[in-house]
Amino acid sequence: MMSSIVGKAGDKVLRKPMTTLLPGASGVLNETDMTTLTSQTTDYRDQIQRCAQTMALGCVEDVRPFLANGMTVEQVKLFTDGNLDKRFEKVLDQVDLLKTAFDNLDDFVNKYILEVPLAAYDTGCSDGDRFLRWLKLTHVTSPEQQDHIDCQLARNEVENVARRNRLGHVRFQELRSMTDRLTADLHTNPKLRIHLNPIRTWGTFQTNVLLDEESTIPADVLFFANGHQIRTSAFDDDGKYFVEILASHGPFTLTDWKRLDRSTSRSDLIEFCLDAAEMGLVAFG
Amino acid sequence: MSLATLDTTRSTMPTRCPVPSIGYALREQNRYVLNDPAINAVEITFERADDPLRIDRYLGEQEFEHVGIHALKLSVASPDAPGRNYLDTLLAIAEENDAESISDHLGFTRDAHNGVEMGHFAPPPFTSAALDATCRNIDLAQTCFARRDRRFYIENIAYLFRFDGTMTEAEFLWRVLRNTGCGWLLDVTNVYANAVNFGFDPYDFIAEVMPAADRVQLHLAGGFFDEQAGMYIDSHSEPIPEPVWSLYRHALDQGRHKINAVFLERDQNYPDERGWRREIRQVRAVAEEILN
Repeated sequence: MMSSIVGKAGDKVLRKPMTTLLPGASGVLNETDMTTLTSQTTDYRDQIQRCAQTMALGCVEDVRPFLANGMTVEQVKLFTDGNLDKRFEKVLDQVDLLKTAFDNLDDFVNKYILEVPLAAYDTGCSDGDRFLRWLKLTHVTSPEQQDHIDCQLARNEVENVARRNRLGHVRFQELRSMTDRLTADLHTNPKLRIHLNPIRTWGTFQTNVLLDEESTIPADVLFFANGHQIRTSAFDDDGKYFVEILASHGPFTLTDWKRLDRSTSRSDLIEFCLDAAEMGLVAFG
Repeated sequence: MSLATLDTTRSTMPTRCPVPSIGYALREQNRYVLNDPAINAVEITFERADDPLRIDRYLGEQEFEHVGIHALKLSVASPDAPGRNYLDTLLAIAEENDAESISDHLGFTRDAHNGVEMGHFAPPPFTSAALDATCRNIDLAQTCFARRDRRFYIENIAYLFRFDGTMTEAEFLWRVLRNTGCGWLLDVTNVYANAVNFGFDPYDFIAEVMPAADRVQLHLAGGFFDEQAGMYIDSHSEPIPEPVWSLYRHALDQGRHKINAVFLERDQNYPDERGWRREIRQVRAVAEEILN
């Protein structure tokens, strides 16, 4: 990795007129020039790595040797404190669901941002996601707290699935916008196909804390995109079976479905489809 | 080498020139005033638009004469090149919103490709090694964006400290612009903040760098002077202060025939509707006054 980057930088230098890079150079690179440039590039990489890694955790002492005359580490601290404050607020916002389950959520987030640096190309909910995994690994949590963490992780995963399959999300939501109009045709139109929402993920809740009191636990819960929102539904074994058939073999017509699953009555399949369409899990088209 | 010897484009007598497209950096808080007659441009922050669950285009149905995409994580001064996935997603958002320009900041936010992110951009050390890495990364980004006819601009940042270096910021920026041919997103408030904090003449800075840029966009914003830190903080939380208005006039004058868009940024202490409209109208009025 390191050597390829150094090589690229060297290529770049060879392409560029030297006068624009090193004032006073003749424009022809000799071996001494190349050694100097490679050394400069390596030094630069080391400097940026050292400074970025230390500043990402709010530490500033390692930056001191690289500062210009007259600069103080207090100025660097102003920079890193501002960054950490923003990160703290952002992570807290991303794990909003946990506020009711953890009295000391602020302390956990604070500890996390001082222990775990933000990852390169942090996107969307990725920092909140890493916080939740860190929390699971480093702290003992109650089953209720665990359900809150898993719920938030599953919601994040829905966003990740949508990020990987944005076209699928947009196409399904377009289909969904026509589904209300087509619902009445489900009984009569043999060509109407049933599509399962591709932006979904399963989770399991060990307690009732996020479910109705009468729900059976542990409960299989499906998280899926509903327009710009994320919806959650608990399924019994039959419902889960229907979803899995659609996931494995869909999209298909009601007739195809009946061929695949002879044990379920057509009216039960229609009832499931209508319920699932209403909640945004399936669409017709 | 002094900048004077590098300057080959001497300014001529001021002439009438087109007023640039003018608008806000889009926030949900100002979306409702984007139909103001003073607004014909808009800038979208990439990280805000990059929402995987969004169905409609971020900009909505409204059309603008100029749409710019403003990114935060190209980290052009990093030793590693920007990630391909990030570049492609940036380009996809630009296409989706009919943006013609893409911009990011002259600084680094991370150490390496799979490394850590600092959360905000720090200035590069103004050295030839940093210049080389920065130019290589900008070249790479420009090659990617040019595939879909999008042009790239680099923004001068406000910083709270500087690394040891071998050239001035103006000289470094001059060389970046000349070596890469990319546009300059001149953040007028950032120049002002750095001038206050580090004691240089902001008018000279703009006059020195402007000849190196073939095309220019402007950023305007308002911050505050933090008495405890003894520094001007570019917080985007206040109306544009008088010294920045004055510097804006100077930038318009120096960049005539080059400036194609002006964007006003506000991220905190949002004004009411009257405030939103009044400030952007003033931005346009000043541009018309200087350029016409």
